[in-house]
Amino acid sequence: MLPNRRGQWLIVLFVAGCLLFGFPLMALFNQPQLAVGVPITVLYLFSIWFVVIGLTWLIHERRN
Amino acid sequence: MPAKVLIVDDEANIVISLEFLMEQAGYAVAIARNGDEAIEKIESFRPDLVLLDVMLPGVNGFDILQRVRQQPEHRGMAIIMLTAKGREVEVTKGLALGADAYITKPFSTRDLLAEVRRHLNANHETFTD
Amino acid sequence: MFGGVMIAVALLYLGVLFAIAYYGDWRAERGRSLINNPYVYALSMGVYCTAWTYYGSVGRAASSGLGFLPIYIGPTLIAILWWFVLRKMVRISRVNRITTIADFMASRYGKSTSLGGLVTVIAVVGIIPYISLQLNAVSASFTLLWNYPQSMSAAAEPFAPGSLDTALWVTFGMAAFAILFGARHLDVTEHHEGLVAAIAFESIVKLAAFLAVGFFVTFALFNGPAEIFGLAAADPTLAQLFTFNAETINASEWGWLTFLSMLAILFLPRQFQMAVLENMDETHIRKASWLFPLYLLVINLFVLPIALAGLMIFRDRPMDADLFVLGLPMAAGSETLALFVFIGGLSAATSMVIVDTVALSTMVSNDLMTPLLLKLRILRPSERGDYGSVLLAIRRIAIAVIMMLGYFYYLLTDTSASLVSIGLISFAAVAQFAPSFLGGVYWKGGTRLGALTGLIAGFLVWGYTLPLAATHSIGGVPDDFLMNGPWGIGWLRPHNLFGLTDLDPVAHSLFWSLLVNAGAYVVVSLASRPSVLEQGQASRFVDVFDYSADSDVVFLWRGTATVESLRSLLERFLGAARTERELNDYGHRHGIDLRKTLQATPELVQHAERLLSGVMGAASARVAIASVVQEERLSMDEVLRLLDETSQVRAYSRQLEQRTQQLEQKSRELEAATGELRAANERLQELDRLKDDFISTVTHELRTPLTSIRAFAEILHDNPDLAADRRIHFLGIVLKESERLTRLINQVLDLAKLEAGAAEWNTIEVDMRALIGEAVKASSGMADEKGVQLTVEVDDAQPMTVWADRDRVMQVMLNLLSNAVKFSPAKRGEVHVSAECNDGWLVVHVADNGEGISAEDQKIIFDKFRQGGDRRLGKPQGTGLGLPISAQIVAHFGGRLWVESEPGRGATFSFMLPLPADR
Repeated sequence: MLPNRRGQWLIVLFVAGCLLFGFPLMALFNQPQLAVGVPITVLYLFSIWFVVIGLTWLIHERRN
Repeated sequence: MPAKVLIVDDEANIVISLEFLMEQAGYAVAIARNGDEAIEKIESFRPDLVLLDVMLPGVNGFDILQRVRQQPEHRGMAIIMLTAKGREVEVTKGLALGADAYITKPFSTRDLLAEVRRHLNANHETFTD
Repeated sequence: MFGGVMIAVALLYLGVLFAIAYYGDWRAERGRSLINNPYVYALSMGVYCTAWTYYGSVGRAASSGLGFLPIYIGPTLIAILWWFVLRKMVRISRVNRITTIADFMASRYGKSTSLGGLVTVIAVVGIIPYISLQLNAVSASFTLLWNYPQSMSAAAEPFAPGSLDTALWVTFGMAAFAILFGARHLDVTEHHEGLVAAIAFESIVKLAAFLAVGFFVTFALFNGPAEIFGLAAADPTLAQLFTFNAETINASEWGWLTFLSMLAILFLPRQFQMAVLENMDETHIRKASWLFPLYLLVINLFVLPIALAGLMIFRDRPMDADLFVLGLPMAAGSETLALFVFIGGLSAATSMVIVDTVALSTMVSNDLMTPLLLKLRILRPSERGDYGSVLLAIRRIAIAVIMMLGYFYYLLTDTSASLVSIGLISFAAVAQFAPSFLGGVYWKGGTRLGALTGLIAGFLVWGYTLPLAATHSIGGVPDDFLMNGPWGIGWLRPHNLFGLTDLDPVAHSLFWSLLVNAGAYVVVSLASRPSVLEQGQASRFVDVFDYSADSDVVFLWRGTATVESLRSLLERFLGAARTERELNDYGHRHGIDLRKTLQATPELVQHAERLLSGVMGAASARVAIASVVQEERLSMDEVLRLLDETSQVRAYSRQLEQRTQQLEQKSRELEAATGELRAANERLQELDRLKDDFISTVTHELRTPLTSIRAFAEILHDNPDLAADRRIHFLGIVLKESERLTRLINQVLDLAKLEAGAAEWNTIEVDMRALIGEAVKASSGMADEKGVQLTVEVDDAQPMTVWADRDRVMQVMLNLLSNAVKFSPAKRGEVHVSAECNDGWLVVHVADNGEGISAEDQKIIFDKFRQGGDRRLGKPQGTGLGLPISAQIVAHFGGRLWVESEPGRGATFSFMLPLPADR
């Protein structure tokens, strides 16, 4: 990944994160049902959280 | 017997050009690359004319000039100062110390040759007279 | 019996913290830093997770479901942008030797003491609820565990020896600990390595304890999360916690809290301390920006399961949801785990208290008390005295006072308020820093007046809408005040300003306070005029990446300052030994012997100011320096601006007679400007003379190759029938001399640019190991040709990254290498390149086995057009400008270039460049 591209990717990720962790997108998952034994909202929030962290890692640590 | 010219300069390429010009004009040439060598060659080679650079490593051109002029045995030796320093002060200093002419670098080869000829002929005239 | 064990374990734990801190400091003194790695850096940021997270999250989740999460989502999102935002904060703080967030703001807005003081007041007042939260949590958990096992069945007896309540004992204990622990050293710019190590350790302890109770509850008390969620889903009151709804948290509150915590992670004094001031290396930010969010994610995994389990298990028993974390293992009879959980909570609370009191007490001493004492002339820097111990005493007293204020806040407000609701009040307070802080870092137009107005306005609105209203429950303000507004004015209701009813109290307060804060900041900034110092600081901050640490604008100087007066000033605040060391370093870097110098240069005065900043903050340092120097500094820009202004004044005077007063002021400034111009003129004349010398030398050097070119051109022209080989020889000379002429002209221009400071520097991180390798490779052709052997030896134990212009440093390397090859004997020449990191410097040596350089030549080779070497052997090739250019380049980056040689034994050219941070 080119160094200046890296900066642009970070900004894209930030914007995407703000959208994914905000409404109205989260309203889509705002249901009391369980999926694999876990409430859908909880499952959504923690998986998105994990993915965002993973992508931050990818942008920073992957070399070219 | 051809007239003898001593070239004193520390720039190798300038020496090559002067050597070529003097030899082409039919003079016998010797070369010195610094002050000490110049003093030694003046004694051993006994040139009729010296093309003397001012900025030399070791003893500089003005010192050599002064020294030669103090020695009566070199009275007839013509000395043409050659230097990149073209300031009025330097010219005056050189002439005051007894230089016969002053040529600034970069020089015209024709002017230089004319100047050399003029001084050598003048000397020969005085000798023959 | 159990209580005794508990106190013993707690004391043992605090003892371990001390041991780690001392070990960290001990390692730092020996240059083997314990904390100089991204993992410790990320862990130390875990100070974000306090008793709020540890106990309060579960309490919050028990009532608001997912409402505990935005506090961790916000930092995760901001962490993505850390590479831009945090790195800039770190760089600015390092370059300007910032000591606190108040110092940062004061420094940005023209080293303003009033702004520094205001930020300090806001920070202290704002953090007090947060400290009371820690006292609340520790004393409640202590009381619960102290009364074990009775507390599991009956109402708890408070622990109150000596008729003092638990919270007061906790306050005393924590204050004593913070004073002993936090205020050990005076200098605040040097990293607190021991502190950071201890905080990182605490982050591990609280995470481990929380995960332990999480596993215990989820997998020992229940059969995994699926069972907990399954049981909860069957109960409608619990199932509603799974979603966003009116009972838990709505979309607007979620959004506002996320936004609020984005600001908190940047501006909380303890986060600023750990993330900005204690940063050892900017590249650590890369790892931290995913590791720290990962830490937050992991510590939050079990919050909801524990909350649901607590609600189910304590359905019929009285138990504060904020204490479920401790109550669940106690209820299950697991004493050891309960004790571990208590220690985890203690670590969460102590880490917050320690770092915040260190940060706040430094602010109080540097940005509030010292300027005040200097102004009131109680502290007189021009007199003898040990001011270091005064500063340290102020810091210790400040810690005690802050802790006591936290205790009083705890007493005065509703003790039953949830931990999270107390903490959010503090978050909203520090969010007030956002407009003028971010504005200051990205917008040059922000002014001191704008920042002051915005902060005061925002702070007042915050105070009115949050903490004032929080005193309601103990009768601080009557019901009527909240319900109908003061004097029955409805639109002044603290939770519904201007009739705004759609927001919860925190979001409501945040909206109005930030609106007036940012609005006032922008409007007043645009309407006011910044001082010269402010403008200068603005560009130092906003364009920080264009500056390197020591490249200051050269200031013209009016009046005098002696080296001696500066030295004695420094000694009073830094101590004799450190002053000596710093001044020696400075003299060494700039090639002057300060022991033999009377007059201080403007650069030295500025350097002294920066050193003092490290101890007492930028604003105080400026006052202290002014007390020795008395005179104002004017920059070249200011002189020009003053001239510009005076022409405007003439226009004014024609139109407006009544402005004579202003005119007088201007004419005084004009007088000052004239003085400056005279000084500038003298300097210009001196420069002119130097330029003449330079030109005369340059022309001489230009004439030499020109002479050969002209002579041979004429020879070739006049002798058309010259033999072919001669012809080629002469043409070759013409070409060679032309090349020499070109090279000479390029280097003269290059040097002129460097000396005029007009060169463009593209400063980036340069990996010197790679650069050296490349330079050696590039020079190997030349070396092979001459039969010179090139060897390299680079210490690869440490990173060799410097901040410099890659091409320029390459130019230096190539110059040194080509010189070395040139002066090595043909066929048996040996050139050895080595590099090492030494005491904050990267040192590169290029050694040859040539004739060496005589002592006289060593003095002149760095002068322009002077070359070494034995002249009887003829002139060496080269222009005589390579070394002066290299020396200029190295000096630009704060390093120096030198030579060591014994005639006949070769020469070693070396240069050193500063390594980034305090490595």
